[in-house]
Amino acid sequence: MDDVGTAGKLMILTAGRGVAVAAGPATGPSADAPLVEAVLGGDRDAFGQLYDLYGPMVHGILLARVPFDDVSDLVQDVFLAAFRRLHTLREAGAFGGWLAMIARNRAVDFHRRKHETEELPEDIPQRSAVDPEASEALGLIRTLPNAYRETLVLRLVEGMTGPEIAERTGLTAASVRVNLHRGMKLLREKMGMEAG
Amino acid sequence: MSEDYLWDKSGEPDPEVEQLERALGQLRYKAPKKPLPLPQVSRPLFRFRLNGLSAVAAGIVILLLAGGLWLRLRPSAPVANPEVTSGRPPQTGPIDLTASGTHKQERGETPVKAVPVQSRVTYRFQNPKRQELGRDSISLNARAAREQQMVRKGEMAKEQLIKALLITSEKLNAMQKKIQGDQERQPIS
Repeated sequence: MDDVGTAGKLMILTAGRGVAVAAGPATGPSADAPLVEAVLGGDRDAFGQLYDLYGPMVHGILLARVPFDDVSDLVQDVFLAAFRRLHTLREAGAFGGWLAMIARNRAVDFHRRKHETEELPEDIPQRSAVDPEASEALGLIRTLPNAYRETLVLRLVEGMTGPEIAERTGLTAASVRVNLHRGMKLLREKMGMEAG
Repeated sequence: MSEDYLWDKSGEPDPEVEQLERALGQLRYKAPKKPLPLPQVSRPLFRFRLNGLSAVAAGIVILLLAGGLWLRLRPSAPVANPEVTSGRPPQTGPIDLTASGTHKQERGETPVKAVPVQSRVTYRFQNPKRQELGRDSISLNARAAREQQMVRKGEMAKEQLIKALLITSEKLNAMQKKIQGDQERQPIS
């Protein structure tokens, strides 16, 4: 079991909606801070390393919200936006939480623009063939509240562990743990309902 | 059912979680073969970040500058003491500074009401010969008017300065609150 400390951290509890607790700067300097500083200093290769490190997190956050076929393009959009706005980041150690917020906002923008554009007919062939079981499971996860679905996708799709999710997203380990277990409980219930 | 497996993949594997991992694993992120084409971004030369301490320092500097400006613009005291009259005949003798309304009432005279400063101002000197010199009187009146105008301008400048200081203070407070808010702001999922 990991030692989970919540002292001095802001906890937002929303009944049935998940827990979002940002670890904030009190957790100490992040290992990614030197990379962020290097990018700010003009090192473009350092941004490539950040891209490799945070790619799965951004992918998972987007996959929890937008269709699978659009995720890859949006991941690039998020990283490009982050690169352009990196000088506005106040604390290099908070890069993960900042990037996660950009990804969430990008997903919101995607749905907003989707409403503004004309819908394509449904008989257009799909670009990728997703396994029906995976598609069904992902569909069920997407019916869960945002905090649960994001944490579950990062765990079940991207294969990240709870501590890794906490480290990357900037959330506390406690809130990730709560979201994982509550989300999994809800998912089991829904899968049971589907099976029944 | 092991909760540890869901948390950090340790302990006894949960079959249901394993099945979901297998099914959903095919949707996992695949790193692109080509590197991300990064645009050329012109970074600002100075990244000005106003934290709490620098906000206070900036406020002090602004206050000092404003104070210095006010001291420089502050109107100086008039050279001569003007006597304010209100259409009364010119007084030929020395001015009786003690002749207040109460004393006049005691002597059976009608007390003269105080006249606002904006009324006509006549300079009177104790030397009666100077009063006979009309041009001197005119020039002195003009000088007094100028001084009054300067006083009014000074008052207006003072008011504007106070307003500017108030606005600056409010902006500094707002900025400090914003900074504190940014530091406390947490990402919401």
